[in-house]
This record gives sequence, structure tokens and C-alpha cells, in this order.
Amino acid sequence: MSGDPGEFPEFRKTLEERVRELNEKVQELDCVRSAFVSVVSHELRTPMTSIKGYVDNMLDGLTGPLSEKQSYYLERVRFNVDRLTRTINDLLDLSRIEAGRVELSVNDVSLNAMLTEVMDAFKPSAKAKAVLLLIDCSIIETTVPADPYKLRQVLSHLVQNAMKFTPPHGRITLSAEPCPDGAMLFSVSDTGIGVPPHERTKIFERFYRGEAVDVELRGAGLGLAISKSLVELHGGRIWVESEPGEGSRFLFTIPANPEFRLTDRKR
Amino acid sequence: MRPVVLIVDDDPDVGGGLRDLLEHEGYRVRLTMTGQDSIVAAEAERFDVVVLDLDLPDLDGLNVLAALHARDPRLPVIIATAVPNRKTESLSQGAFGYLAKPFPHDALLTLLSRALTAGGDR
Repeated sequence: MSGDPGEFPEFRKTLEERVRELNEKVQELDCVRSAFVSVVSHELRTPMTSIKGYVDNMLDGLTGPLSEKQSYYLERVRFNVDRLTRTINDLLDLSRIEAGRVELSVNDVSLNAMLTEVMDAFKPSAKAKAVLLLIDCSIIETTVPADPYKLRQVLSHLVQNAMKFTPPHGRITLSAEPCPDGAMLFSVSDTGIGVPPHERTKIFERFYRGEAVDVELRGAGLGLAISKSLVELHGGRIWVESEPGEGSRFLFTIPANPEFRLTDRKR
Repeated sequence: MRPVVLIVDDDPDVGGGLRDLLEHEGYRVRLTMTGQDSIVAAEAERFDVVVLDLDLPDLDGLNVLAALHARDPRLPVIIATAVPNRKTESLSQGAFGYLAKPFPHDALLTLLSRALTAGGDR
């Protein structure tokens, strides 16, 4: 007896129907997941917008002068609302990545514009913490083929991470240099607490949080996992080099032709 | 003459907080909570700029944007939304700017000021 279902029309028809049903079910679940993410996002972000709006109004002086204690309390509310917002955004990003909904939109990205933009975004928090932010790049006029939004996300996550673990009066350096194979090597170095050898792979896993992390500094443990996914989406790789107690250097590569790599991987 | 801003947002706390901020910054503010009300308001009064939510109870914000632009193609409309991933669509359909909620006040004030400069000679 042969195993070819083509010889048994009834069996083949049942199989085809079953496959079609399962496909429809998968599509339906994908729609539900997508709608869920959208609704959760909206329902969480809307109340956060009003909390943040009123707190910012009070801190901006709209309701009159504040005592030192009132300002302190409101600053803490603002800090925690911003923290919650980052967590929600990270969860949504991860959900989209895992659903395979993230696609690359590759353009020639100016290194100068990208590095400056990321650094500028962190200037206020660096100033508040007395941390020095530097760009060290001898090829600043170069462009790199990448998805600008995702490259900015990766660099921002890495700088955000460095800000967390770098003590006051420390230094964070953002750099980019070409590799011999044409890829671009980015790095974010800090003078923070460093990463012990046994955690250097784990820190890129979802929801993993460093053992030495203070409660105050804890996030959901998603920033590095998202960065890893976005770098790998470009066909690059990400890793960390560190000297505990002296700082860390997070490095990642963006290949010369991310779209080609992506197509190549899909084959 | 103080510039007039129409804020369209169905959440009274979001709209109320924004109204207080913008009035403090010297704007005159009108607040509507539905797409239809905002289209009617724009027929009755000339606004210098609109801050528009997308997830409204009666209409999608981009339909409201189209209706506002049908009447006044150069009216600057800033989309402010908590719905993810609609930036490209909003900008390609003629929005002046896009803010993902929650956003820092400075980002809104900068966009408003740019919108007023851009729409000033309407």
C-alpha cells in the first residue's frame, strides 16, 4: 500500500480541509493578538497621558507655587509614569517582534544625525546625574544602511542601560567604526558596575534582570532582548565586553547590506 | 490676537489637562470629544491648529482629518494618539505632526509653534 494521499481522494480532501481550517484559525488568532495589543496599548497609554499631563502642569507651575516636598513627590510620580510608559512600549515592541510583525525599512542613515539625536535625547538625564555623554567617531560623515527607527531604538536602549548602571561623574561613550567586511560596528561604553562573566549571555534574554540591580533601577528586563532581536533582524550580532567594577562595552554590528542578509536568511 | 487651538479628545482628563496647559501658554482653546462635533466646530469657527486624537467614539481620527482638510487644506493638524503604529499613515494623509501618547509637553508646544508658523499665512 502506498502512502500517497493522492490515491485516496476522500482522505486528501479531509486533509486539505483540515489544513484550511487550521490556517483560518491561525489567521484569526493573529488578528485577536493584534487587536489585543492595540487595545491594551490604548487603554494603558490614555490614563498615563492624563496622569502625566496633570503632574507636568503642576510641575510647570500652572497651579501655583509648590513646596519642596510637593515638587519632590510630583517628580517621583513623573519618574514612575515615564518608567511605566517605557515598560508598556517595550512589551508592545516585544509582542510585535515575536509575532513576526516587525519588518525592516532600510535607508541610508547619517551616523552624525543618528548619534547626535540619541545623545541629545539623554542630555537632560545625563545632566541630572552628572554623567558625561560623548561621541567618539572618526567617520561621522558616513552613512550606514539600516532601519533608522530600529537603529535609534537599539542605541537608545543601550544608552538607557548605561545610564542606569553608571554612577554620578561617570562617562558614557557612543562610537561607530567600520569593520573589514564592510559592516558597521557600534558600541556604547560606560564606566558603570560592569557585567560578571556568567551574566554576559543571560542579560540578552527576555525578562532577565541583572543580579546586582537595585530595585530602583529595575525595569522589565526587555531592553536588551529587544535590542538583540532588532540587531539580528538586520543580520547583525550583539554582545558585551566587561571588566566588573570598571564598566561595560556593548557592541553590535550592522552588516553592509541588511536587506540582502534578511532575504538570504529567509531562504 | 491669541491663536485658537481645537483639541479633539474623547478622554476628558487628557483633553482637560491639555486645555489647561495651552491656556497657560497663551492659546485660546476649544475642546470637542467626538469627530462629528469637531467637524461642526470647524465649520463655525476658524482654528489656527488642531490637536486630534485618532480613537474617537464615532469616527476614526483620520476621517476627521480628511473632513477638516476638505474644508481647509492648509489647516495644520497634529495627531496625538495612544493607538500604536499609525504615524506613517497619519503623516502620509496630511497630518502636520504626530505625537504618541503619553508625550512630553515640550514636544507638543514645539509642534504647535511650528504649525502656527507654517499655517500663519493661510
